[in-house]
Amino acid sequence: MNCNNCLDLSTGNLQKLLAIVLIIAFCNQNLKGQVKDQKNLEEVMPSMFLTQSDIKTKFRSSIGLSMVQPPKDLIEMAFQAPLFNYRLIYQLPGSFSIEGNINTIFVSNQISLGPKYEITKKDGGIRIGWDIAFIAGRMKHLGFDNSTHGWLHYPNISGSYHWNSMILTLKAEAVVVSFIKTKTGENEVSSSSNFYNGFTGGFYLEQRLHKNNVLIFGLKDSYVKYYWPTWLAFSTFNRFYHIPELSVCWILR
Amino acid sequence: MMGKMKNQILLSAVFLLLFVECNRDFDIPIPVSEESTLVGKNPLAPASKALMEGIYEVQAEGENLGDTIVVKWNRKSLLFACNNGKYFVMKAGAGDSKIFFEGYWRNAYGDDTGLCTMTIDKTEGGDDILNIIPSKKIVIRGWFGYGDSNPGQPLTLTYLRPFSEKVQKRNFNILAHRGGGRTSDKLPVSENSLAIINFTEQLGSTGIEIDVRVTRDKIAFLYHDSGINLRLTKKGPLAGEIKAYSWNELSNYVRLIHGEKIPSLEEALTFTIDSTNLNFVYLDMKDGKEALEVVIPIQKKMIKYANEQNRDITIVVGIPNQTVLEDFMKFSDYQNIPSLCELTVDDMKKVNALVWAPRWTMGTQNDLVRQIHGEGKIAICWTIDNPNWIKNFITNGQFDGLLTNYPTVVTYHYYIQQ
Repeated sequence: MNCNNCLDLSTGNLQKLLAIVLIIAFCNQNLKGQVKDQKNLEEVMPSMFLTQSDIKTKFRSSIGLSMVQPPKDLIEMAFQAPLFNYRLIYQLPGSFSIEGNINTIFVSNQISLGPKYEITKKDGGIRIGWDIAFIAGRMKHLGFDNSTHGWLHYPNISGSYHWNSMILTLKAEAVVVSFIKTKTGENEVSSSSNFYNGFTGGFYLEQRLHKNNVLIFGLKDSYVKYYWPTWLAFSTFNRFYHIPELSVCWILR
Repeated sequence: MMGKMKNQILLSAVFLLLFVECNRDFDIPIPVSEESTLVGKNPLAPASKALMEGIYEVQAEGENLGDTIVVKWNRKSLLFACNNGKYFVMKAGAGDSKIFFEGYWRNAYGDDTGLCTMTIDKTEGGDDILNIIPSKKIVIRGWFGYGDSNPGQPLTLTYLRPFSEKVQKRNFNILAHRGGGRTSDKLPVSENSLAIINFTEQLGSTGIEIDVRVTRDKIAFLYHDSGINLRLTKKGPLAGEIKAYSWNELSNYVRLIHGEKIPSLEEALTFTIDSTNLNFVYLDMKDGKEALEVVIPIQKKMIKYANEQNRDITIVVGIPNQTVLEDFMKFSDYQNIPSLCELTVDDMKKVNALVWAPRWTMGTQNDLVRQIHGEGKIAICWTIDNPNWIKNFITNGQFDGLLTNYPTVVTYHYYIQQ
């Protein structure tokens, strides 16, 4: 009786991704000096975290993928799939911006939207924001017709520091579930509302590679009870888990 | 500058590795008391134990244990089952006309646990129970705590009523998934092990479901996943498909996640018959025909052995899919082999299965269950873990048992019925 088939990305895969990150980062050492003397950050390096420095473009977007390692007792029989991400920032007047995110592994999807306010200094800045996310998922498998939907809130704050061709960002966000429902066929499996779900902490390195091409290497720990990509596990556990997520994104401009 | 940059990146890499490592599995050990209050106490007579069983009102400080609790003895201990997944496993002894209890509590859906000590005073039912006189008043008083620290939170259980006649008359199967309930609350016992089979009655289980695979040299053994992995086993020299190895290799080089040996099917069934009071074993077939050829002779042998031991136990081979059904029907005497069919009622009739076992997401299906009962068969539903659905199936359904990872919750909702 295989009860829990869902997303899992093994430590082996995370290690492979880590190796790629390190190789790219080390190979890129020679590029670091190219932009050192530039005064305007946005002229030399696009960023998804420091967006207000005399920006010339109204839109900025990135695509990427994430590797996730859910706990083994939550996800048992694993198949491997990356979590795809598309992120879009639209600049508003007065240090405000609005940011949208789409995350998907096809059977699990999250779309979020939220305002951001940024305070920018010469070498860095702080952003605060509040994202509201809608999650939805469906999977028909072995006669099961499973589906989920719900609403989550992510109040967040991030601080970024820029040096040479890199921007380092630390980001923290709280996760509040306002509503989630999962169903199998017409049967409601679970329904929860209005609970504090935990928090996440992330470390992001934006690295300029060639010209203005920028990669973002992200490392995030979600310390949560409910982790939306794993809804298919139909977890009944009421405990917090550390769920590491390693991501690589490409800024599209 | 170059060196500084490398240091930054190396620092990031170390941070990242630490990050990946943070997702380690953990166990929640069973708390142990430094001093036992049961030393020198006398064991209770079975008739005394029976007098204590029933529904109690709960008064607890600092922890939500619900309004009522089910108190039920099993082979090894006394279970206090709450409606929200919390439960107490208590040992008991008698002395000076008082009854003493000590044990621990856990939360089947979470991480909470702690020690518990309680007593029934001479004047609050202790004397009557020990003299096997039905008592009008039973009050169990004591304390529970957190972790290994001394219990300090007051807890009082006041007897309300015995189990209803309906509950006592019915033979309801509380089947523990993977030998004992998949250790959902992180008990330090491995699934599909002899240790969990030995443990599971303390959670209220009356039967077990175990996962059966076959080695390269045709020995049936207990294991759920197809591969050797770190979810189920300790790090060792073997990897890959588990059925590619011989029994000798698995016995010598693989240990389950809590250090137990992988049991052979014959060892597990012998242990269940000889050392437990479990009365139902569901053999969940993870491999096809080649496994059936090995398992069915063992099933027949163990049913015969159980009969010789006067053990009332049902051992059924599971038919989880059409492939196994077709393979099963290749046996000349398949209609006489006790089986459990997870497919349709028609499929069940085709193989003359003893048990029909639909998955819970199909609903209570009362009409079909009544039809099954009319033919002298039983119906068991798998694998139901959500507490609301457990309650719904027991209250509104007519199944003869539920397969679950939460036997304590099924125990509560079954025995609380009027």
